[in-house]
Amino acid sequence: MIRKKILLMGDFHVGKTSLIRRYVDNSFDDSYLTTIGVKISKKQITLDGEAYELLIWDIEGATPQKRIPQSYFRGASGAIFVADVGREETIEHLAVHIEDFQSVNPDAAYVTAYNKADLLTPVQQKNFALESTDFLTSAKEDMNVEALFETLARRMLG
Amino acid sequence: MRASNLKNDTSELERLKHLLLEDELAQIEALASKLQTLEFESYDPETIKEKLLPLFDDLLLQKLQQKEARTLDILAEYLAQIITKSADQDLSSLSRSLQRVISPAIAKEIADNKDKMVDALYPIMGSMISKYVSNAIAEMMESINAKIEDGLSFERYKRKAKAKLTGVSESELLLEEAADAKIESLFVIQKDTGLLITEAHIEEKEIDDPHMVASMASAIKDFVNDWIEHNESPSEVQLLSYGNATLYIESAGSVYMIAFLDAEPDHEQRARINAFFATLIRNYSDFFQRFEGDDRAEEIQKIQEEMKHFLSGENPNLQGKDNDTARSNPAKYLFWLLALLILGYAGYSAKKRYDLYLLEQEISRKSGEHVTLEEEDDRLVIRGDLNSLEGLYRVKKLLQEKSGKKIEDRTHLPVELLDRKISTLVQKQTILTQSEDTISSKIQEMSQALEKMEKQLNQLEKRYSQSNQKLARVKSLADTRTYIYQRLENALGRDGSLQPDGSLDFSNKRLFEAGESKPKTEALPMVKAHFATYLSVLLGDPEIRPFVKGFVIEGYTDSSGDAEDNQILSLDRAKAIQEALLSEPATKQYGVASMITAKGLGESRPVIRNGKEDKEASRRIKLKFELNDKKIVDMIKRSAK
Repeated sequence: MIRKKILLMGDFHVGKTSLIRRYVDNSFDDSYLTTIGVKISKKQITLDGEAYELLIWDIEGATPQKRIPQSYFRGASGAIFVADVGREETIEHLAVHIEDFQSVNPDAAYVTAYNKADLLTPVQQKNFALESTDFLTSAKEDMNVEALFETLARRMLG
Repeated sequence: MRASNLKNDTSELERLKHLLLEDELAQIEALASKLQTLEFESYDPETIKEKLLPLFDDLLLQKLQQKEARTLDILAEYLAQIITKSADQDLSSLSRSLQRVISPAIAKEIADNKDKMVDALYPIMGSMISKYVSNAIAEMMESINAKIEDGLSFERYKRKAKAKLTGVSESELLLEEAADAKIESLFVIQKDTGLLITEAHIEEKEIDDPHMVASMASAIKDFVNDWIEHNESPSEVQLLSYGNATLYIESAGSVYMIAFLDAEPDHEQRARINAFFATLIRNYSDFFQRFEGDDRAEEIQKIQEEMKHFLSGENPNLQGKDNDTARSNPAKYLFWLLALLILGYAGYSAKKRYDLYLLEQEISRKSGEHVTLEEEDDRLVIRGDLNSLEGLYRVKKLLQEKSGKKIEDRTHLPVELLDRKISTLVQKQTILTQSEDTISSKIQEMSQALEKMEKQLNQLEKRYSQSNQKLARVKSLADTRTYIYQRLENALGRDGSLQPDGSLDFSNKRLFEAGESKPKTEALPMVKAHFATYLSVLLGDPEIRPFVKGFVIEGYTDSSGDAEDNQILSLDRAKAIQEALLSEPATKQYGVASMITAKGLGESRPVIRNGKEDKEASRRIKLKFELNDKKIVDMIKRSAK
């Protein structure tokens, strides 16, 4: 089996942990996240008949009181950046998170999740401008969660 | 006799009184005795204290239990004094008393909320109390450890039993156990990704989901290393231990190895682990570097075999021995490690808080301002209500001296002070507004003056331009004339006919006899030849021709005779030459017949040589050209455009 490290990054309360809960097979208790700023989860997937295991590092957003070690970013084959569609600033901060990640992993693949899409009306969802690597997701409604991870895996492993 | 009778009577009376009033007398005696006791006690303070204090104790206890406000106030007022006095007089006794009260309280607080307790202890308690608390914590921890060791450890009972069966003392067995820690698992982890490359365990010590554990251990290691680096320590984490769990981490190149042990490894055991790890690095460094998460690589199987072999060599007595012990639980290790981290952090935070507390005290002493300090990232935040703005400056100055950090001011100043400052600012703003008006007015005046000056300047520039144009015109005309002169000079040579203004003066050619208007026959060819050359230069040159307006033949006489006659004679002479020239081929060639005019100037310009008139020379004609100045100026204007 081939294993890969991927990161999950984004501001506080954008729903990273909810996405993880919706997707993963196994994970450490959430209390580790508040202690050392990262929580490890894993997910096994099969792509084109090949089994892979993703070790997902859910990285807590940095605050003035808490540093996040840059070494957490090292060796990641891909990343998922998460923003909350209801909070403009979390979308604006995506660029900062992507820059942080790419400064350590310039060639790694990534996708973006605009989460809590269940809060948008169908018309708003339709009009939401998205690139091919962007997804409107909802952990609550299980919307595009699988597709998000699968697209990243394909970009990363393809 | 009477006396004897009286005595008997009294005795009888007493007997009778005893018989009749026996009970009453007993009561009187009891009362008298009680009275005597009361009288005695009222004069003895010690006895009164002895009697009354228990009553006060009960009363005080009752009031304290009811949390009666006044009692608490009184108690608070005198408690500090009592403690201080006791500390001076009998420190050890006070220490014991306080320890009895504080130890259980601390134990409870630590159990309930460790972080808060540690944060709170340093800044609030004084050095004396802090010492007692430290002792209390140390004793408590020793007690807890001892209880755990004695009461909960199965290993302890096993050791005791073994000591009895084998006859070897428990201490010796303990030393034997301490000699080598048991290596339960070995992980080789890729440094950057935190991915587990391979692992090996002693029998029945398999770890559930080792890949998750490896990633988590990697994250913890990164976290601790980052913390160490952030605190400017050059070292890297190598040993994480808590209780009986120890993670020995050896790092090299692209991988690191974690040994999960049941105790801290000694120097020799570390050396053996390091040597084994070095062997792996030497044999598989290429593979480690190119590892991309694929666990099917054949090297992994080989490495695993080597690791198992090393484990069995390190734990020779494990066969059947480990069945008794509990199955290894990675969460237990991680929990202990995290607990260790939390405690480390708490200690570090408490130290920082205490340093800030000392700084606050120093600021208070030196500036008279009471502020609280907090560290936020790389900044130092000041909070509190200040007495004056000057106080704030003093506080900031002190902080800049004591701490190199950036300062963020979140203090509050009194409203009255702010009012005064605002009032001053309003006054300053009014003055500024007035100054601004004055300046505006001045600027307006200056603008008008400037506008006026600009107009004058424009006019001057216009005049200057006109003057320049005139100058250019004059210069151009002069240039044109100079050019013509040079061309004529080249063509005609210097025979004395050509004049500086470009005219031909035939004074040297002896053209006319006295009183005659017809030119001498021998002189006429020379005049015609000059005329032909003159025309060829002026009209044959395309640069000059456009500007030639015409030719004038001026006739002159000498000063002999009547002036009027001379006037007529001079015109006749001019006309005679004109006639002669009109028939010349050059006149026809250039079509200039209409452009040649004759003019008589009489005796107006006689030729004077050596102080007297040369009359023969005075009888002459001059041939001149006229330029069209307007055309030249137009040409200049066109060129300028």
